[in-house]
Amino acid sequence: MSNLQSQLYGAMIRLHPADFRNEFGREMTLDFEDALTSNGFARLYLDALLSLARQWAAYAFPQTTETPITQQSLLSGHYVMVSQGCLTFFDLARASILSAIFLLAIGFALTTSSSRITISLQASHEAQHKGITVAEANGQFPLSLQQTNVANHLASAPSWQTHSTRRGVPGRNLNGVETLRHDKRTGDTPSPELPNPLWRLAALIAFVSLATWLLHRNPHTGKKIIFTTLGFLTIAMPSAFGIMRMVPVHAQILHASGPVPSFEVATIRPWEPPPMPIGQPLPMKVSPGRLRGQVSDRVHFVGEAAILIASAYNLQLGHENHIVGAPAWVQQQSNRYEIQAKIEDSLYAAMQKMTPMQQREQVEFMEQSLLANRFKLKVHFETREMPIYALVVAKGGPKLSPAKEGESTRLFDTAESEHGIETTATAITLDDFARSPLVFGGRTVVDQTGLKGAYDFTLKWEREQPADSDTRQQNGADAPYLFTAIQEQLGLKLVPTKGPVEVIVIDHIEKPSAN
Amino acid sequence: MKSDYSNLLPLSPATLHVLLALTGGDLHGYGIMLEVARQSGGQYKMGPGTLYDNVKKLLKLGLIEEASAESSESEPRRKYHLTQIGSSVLASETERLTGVLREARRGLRLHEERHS
Repeated sequence: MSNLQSQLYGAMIRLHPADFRNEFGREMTLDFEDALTSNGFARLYLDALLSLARQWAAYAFPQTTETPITQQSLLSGHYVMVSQGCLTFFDLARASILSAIFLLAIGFALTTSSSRITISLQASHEAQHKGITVAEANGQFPLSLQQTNVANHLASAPSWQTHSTRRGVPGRNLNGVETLRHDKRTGDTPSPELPNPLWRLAALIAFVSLATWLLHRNPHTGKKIIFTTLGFLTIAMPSAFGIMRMVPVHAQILHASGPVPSFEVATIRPWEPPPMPIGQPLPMKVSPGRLRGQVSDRVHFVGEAAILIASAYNLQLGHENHIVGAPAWVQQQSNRYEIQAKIEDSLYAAMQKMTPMQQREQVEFMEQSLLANRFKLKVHFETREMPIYALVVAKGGPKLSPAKEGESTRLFDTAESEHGIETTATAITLDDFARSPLVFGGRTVVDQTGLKGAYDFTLKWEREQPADSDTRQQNGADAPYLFTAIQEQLGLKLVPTKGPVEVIVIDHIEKPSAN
Repeated sequence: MKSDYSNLLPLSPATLHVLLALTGGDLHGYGIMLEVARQSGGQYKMGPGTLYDNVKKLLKLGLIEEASAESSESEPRRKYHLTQIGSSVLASETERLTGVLREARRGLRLHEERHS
């Protein structure tokens, strides 16, 4: 069996509605493999195409399936379908256009109502957060916290940077990439602006009219060629468009969709930095579930309220500016708090069966619960137009080397000096790179390069553009500023633009009461 | 009391063939496809898309059900079983088709007599 045939058929199955695909997709694939020799690829592919049309029709118009087996549903199995001779490209093209019309109609219907759905979802989230109930035990309790990997998460620089060699730990992998990948699951994908509905309707009518006109006449050879071309374009164009317009997923604020769990016991107290040797990093949150799963039933976290909120809502570090409406003390480093908490034994046991991502979410929900209880935190979520950066290919093309086979994905600083930073990436996708706080800090960067695959590169750059940078660069004494470095060394460019960004709006917060 | 399945009749050819294929025993999807081809003398080769469209409908109506998987298979295929209701519906359809055939034969005979 041709691998291409298998892939094409698999792609067709993936286009089916999720419930049908999940229930029968595997069986369809197995049956396809078995029946390929006897039935032929074209016949089976057309059969899947017609099934696709039927399933989406049933999905869009469920009332039409009230008497499903007594009527010939749209294009359902007829003798003619399987007893006819060999299918031609023209037949396939005709079927492709029919399917495309169905899919377009469904797509238009969905996008028309998307704004209303968004509004109601936001209202729902708001209601959920306002209704959070917390059953937290107050009072102090003894906690023998495990020693943690520590870094000065509280400094102005993001924690990824503080983990790095900039604090004198040469060559340390920050695992930033890994963390970001966890964040991928949740989409902060900016929804495209919808054109005028009347234009959409007109386009749909035009498309349907064209297809109908072509279908209702006996096609001569010329029309068959045009029709066949159109058919393949209907398949090729969405794929090409999808590749070109692919927007990377940003870390999304974690929304609770039901009652949130609470810590068994927790204490919050104002934090005073202990006298520590210079260079010794300050304690930060134990990262249960953040990277490799929950390793302890204890949570220890120190930070200003904004950091605590960012952590509880899965806001990417360095993006605390996405918390709006908060009083000044929330952001002040002089108002830091230390959280010590313990997860309930039964919940901790249950979490051991979860994936690291799910474990992290559980802890974050507990933190949300704690903040709601002790800080009286009430929030809602809004999508606001904010400045972002688009990572695009610069003039002259990319200067990237494809990753070597077998390399693990890493992004870390290999050196830092007064002349700049050297960041090394191995087997990293540009999507991951764009979302790396290690390099981009609090900037929201969207990969729009359209470049696939993983790459190796080394970037020498300067964190902040110094006042005399021109002079220093001319003298060859200083690494270029980030924007310049990316363009010169990677053949990529950061273009300032604006895009929708989900923010946390603080409705109410107060300093926590004594334990 | 005999149940009335008239609201489910007439069955579409694909549905009829799927139910008919399962009268011989529990079959997985490809088994049904082979059985349908055999029963129709190779005239009707059902594809997986058409098959599972119909399987979905029949499962929903309770005319067929999933048979328990054989534990010996590491990655078992789902087999389908004709239920009592499915059997009754098939019997009703067969009865209906018998009447149609009888009527067709009579009409053809009369037609031939008129033209002979």
